[in-house]
Amino acid sequence: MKLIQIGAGAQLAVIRDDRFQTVRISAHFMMPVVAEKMAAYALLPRLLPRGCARYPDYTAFNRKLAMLYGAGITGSVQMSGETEMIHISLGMLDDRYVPDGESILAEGIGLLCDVMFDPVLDENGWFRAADVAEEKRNLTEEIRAELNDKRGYALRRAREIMFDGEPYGAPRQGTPEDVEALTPAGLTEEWKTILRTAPITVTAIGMVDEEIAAAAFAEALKRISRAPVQLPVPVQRAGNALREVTERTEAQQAKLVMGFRVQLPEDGNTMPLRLGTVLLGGTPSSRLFKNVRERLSLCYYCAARCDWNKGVLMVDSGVQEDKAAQVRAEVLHQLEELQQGRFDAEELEIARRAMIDQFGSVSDSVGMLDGWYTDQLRTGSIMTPEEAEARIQAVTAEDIAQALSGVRPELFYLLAGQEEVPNA
Amino acid sequence: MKQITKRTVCGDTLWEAVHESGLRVMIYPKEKYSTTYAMFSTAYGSIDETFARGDEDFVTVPAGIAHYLEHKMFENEGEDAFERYARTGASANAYTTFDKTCYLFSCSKRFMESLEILLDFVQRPYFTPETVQKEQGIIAQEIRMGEDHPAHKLIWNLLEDVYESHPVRISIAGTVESIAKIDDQLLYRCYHTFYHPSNMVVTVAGNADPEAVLALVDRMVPTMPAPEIRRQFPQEPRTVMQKRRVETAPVALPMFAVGYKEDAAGRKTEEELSATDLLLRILIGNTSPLYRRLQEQGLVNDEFDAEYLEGPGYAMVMVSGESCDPDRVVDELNREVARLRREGIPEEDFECARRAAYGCAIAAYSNVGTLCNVMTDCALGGRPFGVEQEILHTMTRERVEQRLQEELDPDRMAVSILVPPEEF
Repeated sequence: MKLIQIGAGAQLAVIRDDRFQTVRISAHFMMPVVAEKMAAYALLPRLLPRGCARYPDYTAFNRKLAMLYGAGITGSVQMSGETEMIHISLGMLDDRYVPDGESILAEGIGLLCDVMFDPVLDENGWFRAADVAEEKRNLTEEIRAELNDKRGYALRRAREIMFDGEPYGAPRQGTPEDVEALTPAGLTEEWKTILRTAPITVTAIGMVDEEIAAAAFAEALKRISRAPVQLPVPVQRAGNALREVTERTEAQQAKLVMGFRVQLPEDGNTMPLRLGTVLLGGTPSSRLFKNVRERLSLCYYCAARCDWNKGVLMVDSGVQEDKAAQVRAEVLHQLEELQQGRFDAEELEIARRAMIDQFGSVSDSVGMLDGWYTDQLRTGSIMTPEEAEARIQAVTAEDIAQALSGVRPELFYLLAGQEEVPNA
Repeated sequence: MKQITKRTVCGDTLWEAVHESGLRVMIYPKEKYSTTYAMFSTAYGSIDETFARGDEDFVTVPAGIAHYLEHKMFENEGEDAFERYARTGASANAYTTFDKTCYLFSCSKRFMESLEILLDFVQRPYFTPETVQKEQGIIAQEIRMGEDHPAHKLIWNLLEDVYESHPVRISIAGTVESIAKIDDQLLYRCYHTFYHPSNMVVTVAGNADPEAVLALVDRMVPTMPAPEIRRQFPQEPRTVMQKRRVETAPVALPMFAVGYKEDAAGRKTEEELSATDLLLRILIGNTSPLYRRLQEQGLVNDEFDAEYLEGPGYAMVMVSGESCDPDRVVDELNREVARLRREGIPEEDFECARRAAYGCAIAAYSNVGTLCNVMTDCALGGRPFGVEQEILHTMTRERVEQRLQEELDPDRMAVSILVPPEEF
């Protein structure tokens, strides 16, 4: 990977690779998470890819992209620790695969830059009211539809309840009321602030001509008086007392989410925690899969995941309500076993191999490479997948027991059907 | 191997072979990739409910048995398949559709060992009354999880209304009641009918040595006489069974799915699928006048989409989405189809769709998982692989217009709608 400075607090990371049929160029804007701004942060990446000053008409803009062999410019938002990231990405065919020797890369990069730095504005210099209204409706409908996916909804609710009052507990896309309150003037101001203050990383993956990419971004950033902010270090709050929360909805199957607070290691090495999570519930050979699903036949899925940027571990499972207590007890039992170091070398090697195998596949996908490096460029500690593999190799059983010993339950959340079913 | 051929596809060399047993093998090596993806699949899915092997009498088996069999294949007398994969670090899975069952893994290390596991366990069934019984709790939870997904309910309602008797109208996993009738003897019967190598295909993409793969297949797959598989599907009328159904579900916004039934005497050709893909892009894609109009009127959101479902004895275009007024969307859709039929497709619209489809087809060659899935679909659907570039090159606007006259017939349409309880 090669890093090129393209402006104050802005860098271009070039990962040149000739194996792919496509290229991907993404701009990542990073801001501190602020609960009141989540709706604006969620709306902007939907609004921007609707067009640009050169192609203000939505249909004409999409046709332009279609004519570039189905190039796509998409926006998304993601929370990592207490940093909010807005991604605006261009994915398109590599010039080598475009028929008749045509070159489309420069045109694609031009459109990507225009979407961000030269958007469609009205006579007041604001985003157009009609565009804003349409995307507000789309976003509101998406937020309201979150309940349609009960597993995802339960995980989100558990996070909001567990981190109530912390930026990390803010609703990811704001509330429908927050969205309703957004205005063209306010959104325009917010985007200008982001352009001025957000640390920016641009990733260019595939056979991207770095000079074209660097020049296009540097030129656009030159027009902005940049004053990048410091990104926050995740809040490490002392543990809370364990809470039990049940919410009810129309559902056949209850969703259990167990939230655990994790003490992050002082040396910054999160590999023991990550490996411990895989050992607990990351593969079909994990403790949770083998016991909760296979041995006790209590569920179809029971999985563990951790956010090592924040220090939280979540276990979730789809269960019958009257079996939830049994699942909970089994999960706690399995966790305790691992905390006490009661696992054998073979189990550990299985989890280790699974993680190493995943690291090995990162480099075969432009999307995965983008995700891998973006998160690392944010924190500044850059590891190749090979270096990550070496660090996983070095983790011992004691390291895992030690990492998991700081894991404490804080929330048992259950999203259940309307009719209460007592424990069996 | 009886027959080995090599040809160039998208700059790479594709190996295709047929084993003495009738097993087809397709290998798509990707130079410099670290990952390999492999699938072992049988042309046996949820619709194969009534069948006979050789001269035997026809038998009708309980709904959901192909999927149940998929779950049970992972178990063996000794170690189960997941335990064996755990030793190589591969990430393994399986899935069942209407017309196929696929066992797969991906890995970045020890590929040949994992391939040996795959070829071995799929050829070695082991069921006892006890092990079959144990799976019922797990699959019942999987079924309940599906029942809580409004999108599943929407589609199953639609299929029930479009098809009067074809088993495509029955949920792939079956029901909690139907799977209770499954026992070890029935599983063996299905296995011995459909898991003969002549009804199967092995596909490999990524970091692999084709000669080593073929040698392993030679060693692991026995040559035995292929039984004749006879499948019986009920006569399906031309028209749909029920034109409109509205039910309640815990959704925020009404959801709708429209199905247009088509004749499905034989399987569709690659060229027909390609023409339908272009037609749907032109009709409802983000470059279309219809999509723009519906968005501006607030009638659809990002979920608006179309797909083509096609297999033995069934074929239909399905358009689905969320809307405050589904009936108006359906009305607008049919009006746009009528207009295009009358006025024809503008050349510019056709060219946009053709180029976008071209980019999309080429991009798929970067992803080893997509490659394996597409090769499998082609092999089991009796279609050639890797010909879309050529087809798109020679495709004409007139051909898509002709397809438009054959498809999307409002007289053969069914509409399924889910509304929030208060709107019922």
